[in-house]
Formats: sequence, C-alpha cells, structure tokens
Amino acid sequence: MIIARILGTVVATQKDERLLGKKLLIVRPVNVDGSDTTGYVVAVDTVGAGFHEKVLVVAGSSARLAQGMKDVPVDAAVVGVIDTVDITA
Amino acid sequence: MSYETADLKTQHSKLETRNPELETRNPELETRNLLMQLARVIGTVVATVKNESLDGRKLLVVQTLNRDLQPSGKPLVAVDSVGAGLGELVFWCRGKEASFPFKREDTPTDCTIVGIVDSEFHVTQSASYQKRIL
Repeated sequence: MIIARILGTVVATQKDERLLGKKLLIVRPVNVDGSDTTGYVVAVDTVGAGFHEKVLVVAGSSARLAQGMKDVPVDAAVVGVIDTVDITA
Repeated sequence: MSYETADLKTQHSKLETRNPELETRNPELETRNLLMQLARVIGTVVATVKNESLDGRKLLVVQTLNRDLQPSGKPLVAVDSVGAGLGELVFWCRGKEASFPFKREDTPTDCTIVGIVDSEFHVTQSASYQKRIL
C-alpha cells in the first residue's frame, strides 16, 4: 500500500456500469515524510476521502477486495484516510 | 564453422563475461526478482476512517532491505498479520497473495508482513557467504 495525497477528481459519464456511483480521485504518491513524489494515479474512493487529504491507496487485484468493490474493474482503491504517520526508527 | 555456430559462440562468451556480482547487486533487479522480501519496520500509520474490511488491522511502515540489510527502495505501508513490532526485521509479500493471510475475510492489501526474522545474524552470514562464492 502506498501513501498518497488527493489532488482532484475525475468525471466520467461513459464508464463500466459496475463503476456507476463510484467516486474517482486523482492521487499523487507521497513519501512517508509527506513530501510529494511525481506521477498521478486514478483511484476509486471507498471511504469518502476529501481534497488534499493523505490517504492509503491499495493497488492491483487486491483493490477489488475492499468492501463494495467486489467484481468492480478497479486497479487502485483508496481504502483509508491517514491521521498520522510515525517514523521512529 | 557455420555462421550460426560462430554466432552462438560469441553469444555464449558474452554470457560468460557478464559479471554475476554486478547483476545481483542491482537493487532494481533484486526488487523485481525477489517477491518475498526482507524489510525493517520503521514506523506506524494511524487511520481512523478506513474501508470496513481493514477494520482492526495494524498498519506499519516498512523499509525494504537488500541482502546486506541496507535500505533499498521506498518505504511502504504494510498490513501486519503476525504481530510485528517497531525495529523488527520482517519478511513480507506483495500482490494479491498479500491478502491470503486473512483468507476468511477479504482484506484489501497489496503488502502484508507475513513473518518475523528471528536471527539477523544468519541473514548477514549467508549474504557474506554468497559474496565469497561469487
């Protein structure tokens, strides 16, 4: 799983019917210290995350295992809103 | 000697002159080849709002390591399935298989800690042995 920050949303009217009603977010992976990396990922929201929030993104076929994502054609899903990241070691 | 044989021979000698040490030392190659990897637990992640299927799961930040136990690659967030703690040397798996430790329930994870290494000494020992024989 990676930590990412929400940059925006994607609107798509014509999409697979199993994606109907699902929110699509544009996220950018960030380092554990919170600094931005490069690149964008479109992820399906499962938690109701908001703009600029740091979230957990799960990628690959595991994304389909999230609640409400059964048999949905997704490759990346937002599965959590991060409160804090503690790096001690 | 036919053309093909000569060609094969040059290809073969090229293969032999490749330095195996260099190939295994390439961190990118190591990451690609070794699917189950060693990592160090370096922190924790707190997330109150989670997908329901992640409820009650411990999230840890792990730093992947190479065979010399030096950091290689970016830290990742992993779900814990064995009760690993901060600073411990663990091994983890990625991909769909990462959800298998929680087989009864579907857990959306692509990175799961599946074991705690008891002795770091044996890892470093075998790494230095491999270096000697290469």
